[in-house]
Amino acid sequence: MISVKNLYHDYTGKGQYAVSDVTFTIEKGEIFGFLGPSGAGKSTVQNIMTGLLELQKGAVLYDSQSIKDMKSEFFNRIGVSFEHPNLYSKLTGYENLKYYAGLFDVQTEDPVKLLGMVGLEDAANKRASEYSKGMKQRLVFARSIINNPEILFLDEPTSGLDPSTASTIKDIIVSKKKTGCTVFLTTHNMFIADELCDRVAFINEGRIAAIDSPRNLKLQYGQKSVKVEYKEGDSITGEVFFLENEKDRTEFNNLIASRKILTIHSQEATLEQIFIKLTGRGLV
Amino acid sequence: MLKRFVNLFNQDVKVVIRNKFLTVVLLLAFVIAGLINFVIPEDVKITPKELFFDNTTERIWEKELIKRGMEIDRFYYSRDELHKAVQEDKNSLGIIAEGSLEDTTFTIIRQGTETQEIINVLDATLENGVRELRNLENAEGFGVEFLRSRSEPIPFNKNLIPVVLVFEVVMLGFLIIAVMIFQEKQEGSIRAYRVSPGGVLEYIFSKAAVITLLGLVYGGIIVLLTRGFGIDYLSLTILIVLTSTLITLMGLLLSVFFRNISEFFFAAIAILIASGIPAISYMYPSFAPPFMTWIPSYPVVFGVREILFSTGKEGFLAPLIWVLLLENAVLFAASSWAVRRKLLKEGR
Amino acid sequence: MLKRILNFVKADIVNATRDNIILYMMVAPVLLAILTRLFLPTLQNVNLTFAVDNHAGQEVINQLTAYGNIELYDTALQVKERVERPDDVGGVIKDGEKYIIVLEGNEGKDFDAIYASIMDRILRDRPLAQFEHISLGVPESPLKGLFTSFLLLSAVMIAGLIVGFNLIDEKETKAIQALAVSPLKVFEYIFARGVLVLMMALILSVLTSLIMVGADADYAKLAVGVLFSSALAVALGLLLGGLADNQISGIAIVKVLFLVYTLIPMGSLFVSEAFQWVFYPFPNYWMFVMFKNIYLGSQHIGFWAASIFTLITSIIYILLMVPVLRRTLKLR
Repeated sequence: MISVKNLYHDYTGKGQYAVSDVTFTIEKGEIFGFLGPSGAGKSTVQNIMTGLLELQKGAVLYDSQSIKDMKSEFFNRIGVSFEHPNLYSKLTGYENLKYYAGLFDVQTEDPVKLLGMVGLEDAANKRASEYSKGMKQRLVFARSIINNPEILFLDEPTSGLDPSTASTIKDIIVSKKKTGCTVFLTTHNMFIADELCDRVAFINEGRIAAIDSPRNLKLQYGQKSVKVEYKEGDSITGEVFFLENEKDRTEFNNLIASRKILTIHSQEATLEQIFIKLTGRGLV
Repeated sequence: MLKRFVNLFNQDVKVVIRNKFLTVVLLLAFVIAGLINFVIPEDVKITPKELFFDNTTERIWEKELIKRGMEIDRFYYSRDELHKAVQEDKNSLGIIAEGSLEDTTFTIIRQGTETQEIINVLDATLENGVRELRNLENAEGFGVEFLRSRSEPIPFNKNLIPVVLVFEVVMLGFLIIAVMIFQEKQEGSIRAYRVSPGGVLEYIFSKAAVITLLGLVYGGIIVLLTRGFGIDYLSLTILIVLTSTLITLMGLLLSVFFRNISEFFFAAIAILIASGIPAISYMYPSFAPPFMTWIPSYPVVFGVREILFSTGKEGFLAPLIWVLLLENAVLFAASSWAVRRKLLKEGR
Repeated sequence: MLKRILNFVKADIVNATRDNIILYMMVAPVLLAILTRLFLPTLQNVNLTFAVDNHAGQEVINQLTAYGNIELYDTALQVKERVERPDDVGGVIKDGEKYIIVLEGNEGKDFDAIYASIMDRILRDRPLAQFEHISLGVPESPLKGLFTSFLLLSAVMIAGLIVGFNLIDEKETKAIQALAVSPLKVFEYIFARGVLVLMMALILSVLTSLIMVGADADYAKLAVGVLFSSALAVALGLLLGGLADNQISGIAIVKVLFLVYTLIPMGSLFVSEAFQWVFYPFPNYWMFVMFKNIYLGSQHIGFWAASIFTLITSIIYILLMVPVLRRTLKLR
């Protein structure tokens, strides 16, 4: 239902593309993860998809209608949660939600209920400026679902949250999916991506390196990995080998023969390790 | 300490330039100089306009006044016409002259808001006109003495330069210092300064120096373009520097007590307007209620005028400088206390 | 659509009342009006001042009081010192049998002639002309109307600045992005802000007018005038918000805006009627003419024409700004 085709974006106007040739589709009711390190072009793609950035080259289609032709009614159907909290700091949490709700033409959620869902009921009447970082994050998230969106854009929704709050947010995302909501989730946190996403796209330096379900990616790139810990001088070193890869296999054999091995674990590779494998860099 | 000052000074210069203040100031300087030189007229009447109906036999008044350069459209040709004109222009007076030169009767149509004294002065000047037309001598028993040689009246447009210098150029410091303080508060860079060995003195001096420099550039361009080289730039510089630091310290003192610039801004408007009131006295020099002369900008604007259009007055600069130094010292003490207590300590 | 605008106005009002800004904003023009009101009588009754030597003789002193204020000094030297002060005061001293008018030399044009005329009239035995005086009975000098008009101009501008700073705040906190992904349209946004401006401007103008002239004004016309002016206030606010990225650059812009905003009407006072057309493109000029119509009686262009021109020119400026706003605010 959402299809992004050959997307390019150039901030400089000099042919230096922040995003180049990005293509993917998202099915209705799917949670689609956009995974990559900071500066990889994740937010650029999301901003083009939500109309915040102008579409320069390529296509962004919602049910085959271009984002360029969207009237303001389109925004009744989407919800956006921003990475950096952008709230009216002088308004209370409740007021921030109430007045935002007033901008929509569709049935909106009760602000009190939403505040309860994200654990902010006690802070409902406090000004947003008095909120902690994590509280602001939750308020921004709550705001994004106030219009019961069909499509939800989430930019790092759990960054800076403690594990239990993060899990509350994750539960809400999953329940949204169950009601048929499509979710576009941008993150550099591979655990979230692994846990929530039906499919993920790896993005690095503005290009897509791989798209598939986390399960398939693991099957494809990392099922037969082995983690070895060994002693090197006085320190302990760890290394991961993909045994289907011939070079890795030779190195693994050499290691076993030459070093004092402390532990060997066969393991499923994490998405992060696969990302490193595919792009040559980490997610942070 | 000097090294730190130079370092801070360089940093503050960069901030002022990046904030586009220098650009704005340069632009304004040329615009203002252009306005003064080419747009604002040299002669502007700010007192009520006299309108005439000369009903004397020979129309001698009309002839004489037109000969002296009065605009022809200020003459009317019937009582009713004049009456109507005076009624329409609330900033006018009507004068009807009747009879012969030897036996003139003037009828003055006044709005009714003029004081009796002003009307009496008008009568006196009209009577003096009769005297001149009849070629009579002045009454005996009085003379006029000028304390200094008479100076040319300053053209209206040039007369505005001191106003611009004191109420625009120098006052700018008030806003800029606040802008710098709030920017540092907002970015949090002030917190980094708090935990550095830098002290209050360098902090204040550096900012005051940058702002004063900006004021000198701003004022320098305007004065150079409107007055040329033939004035006492040294005295002018001293006055601008002292007033600029004064207003900067005032801005610093005030801004320390506000949380953000918007809150400060409206308080600032009140202070700026209060400091601007002496401009009225400058334009109407007879208007000088006692409290006005206590506003620091009052003596300064007249001092600047004396420097720009010297009438040979002596000994006015030194006392003015002393007063300014004293005011600077008081404000410096107050603002450094405030900066130390409020700005360079955590918590509000 | 209406619902959205109302909702937005409500949020703006709550937002504004949370701030001390609203307080300062309300206080500033009101304080200004009170100050002006206190001052005006002194300014309206500016008389000549004579610094007179006590030895000048009671009769001359008595006669001089008919022409201005008298300050008495004990010696001729003190009189001269008084004359030396910055304001324009002439001295009268007696040297033997002769009166001397003491002037500094830097007084305005004709100042010496005026003083001489007065002394001449006092010392002459027989008057040279007869005088009759007719008063039109105008209760207030035009200065009051002029000051009121200027205060109203500044009240409208302040209302516009509030909108501008609101906008800057939204840009700084990026809350504007949340609006950009909602169904809000750029015209709704401008309209909502216009309602806020109108309310602020109305309150401030009525307060200003009440302080300056009391009930002695056509308040219905004032309301119409403010209604028509609010488009200009919106234009100012949008210009400020569109150009400034943060409050700090906002202040720099206000600095320039304020200068242009006040200089245009002020300048129009000094330009003859034949050249007034130079000011026709500026809405603040028309607004000034409009207010002058209310507070100074009819002008060369009447109230209704001036109000319509205020509105039209302001709207042209707003329309010119819409593309810029679309880009900077990312609203549609």
